[in-house]
Amino acid sequence: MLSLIETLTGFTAIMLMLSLLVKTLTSVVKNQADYYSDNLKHEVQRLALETTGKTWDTLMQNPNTPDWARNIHWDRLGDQFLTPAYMGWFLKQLDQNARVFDLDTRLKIHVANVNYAFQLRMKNLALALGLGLCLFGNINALTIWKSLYTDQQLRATFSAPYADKAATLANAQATQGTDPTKKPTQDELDSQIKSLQKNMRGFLTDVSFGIGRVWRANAQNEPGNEKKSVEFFLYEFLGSLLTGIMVSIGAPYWHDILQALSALRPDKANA
Amino acid sequence: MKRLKMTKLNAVILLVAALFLFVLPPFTPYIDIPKLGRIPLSGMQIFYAVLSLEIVVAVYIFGVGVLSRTQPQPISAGYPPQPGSSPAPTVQPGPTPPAQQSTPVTPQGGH
Repeated sequence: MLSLIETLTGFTAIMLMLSLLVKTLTSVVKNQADYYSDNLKHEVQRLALETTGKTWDTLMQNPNTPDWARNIHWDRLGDQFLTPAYMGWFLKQLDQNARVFDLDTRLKIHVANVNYAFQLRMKNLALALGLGLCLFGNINALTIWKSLYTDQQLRATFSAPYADKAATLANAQATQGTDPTKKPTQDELDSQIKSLQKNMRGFLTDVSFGIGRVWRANAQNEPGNEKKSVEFFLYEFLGSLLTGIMVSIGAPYWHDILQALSALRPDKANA
Repeated sequence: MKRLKMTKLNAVILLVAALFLFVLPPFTPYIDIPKLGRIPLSGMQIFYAVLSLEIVVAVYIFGVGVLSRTQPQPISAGYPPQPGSSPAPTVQPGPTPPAQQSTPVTPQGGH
């Protein structure tokens, strides 16, 4: 029973570290791509379509549309753009026949849409990056679990010092909140990338088992060994796919589980 | 019409993905990158790499990228109604809007 708890703790700590890596990677990509402004632009276009009945392209091709409307810099534009007074004026500039009524209520719906779409995109981005990291790195949770369960020394290392390290790192990252509409400086981006590289190297040094086996699988590829080879690749593929989905769930989830499991550890339980 | 176009596009993407998956692995011994030389990978490894790449790209394109949302369609060709055309059937409960209000207030409500 104790070995099972220790294995679970170690496994959760590894998943938490991977989740933190995916979180940092997502943050780096998010800061480069600026998805928030993209969603905002999309919602403004929807509102323009609802009030004028014309698509954005049609409105922009209209010679009466002012030039500044064609040259709006959407980068890092925040919700402050979506106020009833400003949007009412803006839509009238695009089309004199625009039916601007109930803007206050409608804008609340559009702002909610912007935030919902942004959150959804971030979750999908984390899933894509988590899957990419685990599939290409061939990080297999099944092999990690098996190694932890069978190796007592590994289990002891990952259920105590490594779990504490992961929890500390998670706590430190949880306090760093970022505003999606704020443009990060080059220094912030550089420090994010450096932190990602450091964490990745640290992870690969600490957790070397169950990783990258598929890329050095020469033994399974010998002639006459096809069936074994297919089974091996299927096992590694499904394991990595599962790991990618699990690490994309989110660091807070793994952190909560780790805290609950850590409380069950004999040294903590006796304290 | 646009929905049909999207379905066709999805079908083409699926077909190309399947083709890559089964066509690329046999060509492994002939894949040559000038700077890296011939890649010492087996067919199964290439299959694994292509399948992984396709999954990641599909999740990104359909979840984050260009196909993650559909563009809204124009409501109708004759929208908004021109002055003089037949008015939409409306019910006018409640007080009339103040005269100084510049924006037309119709009682249909929001969305």
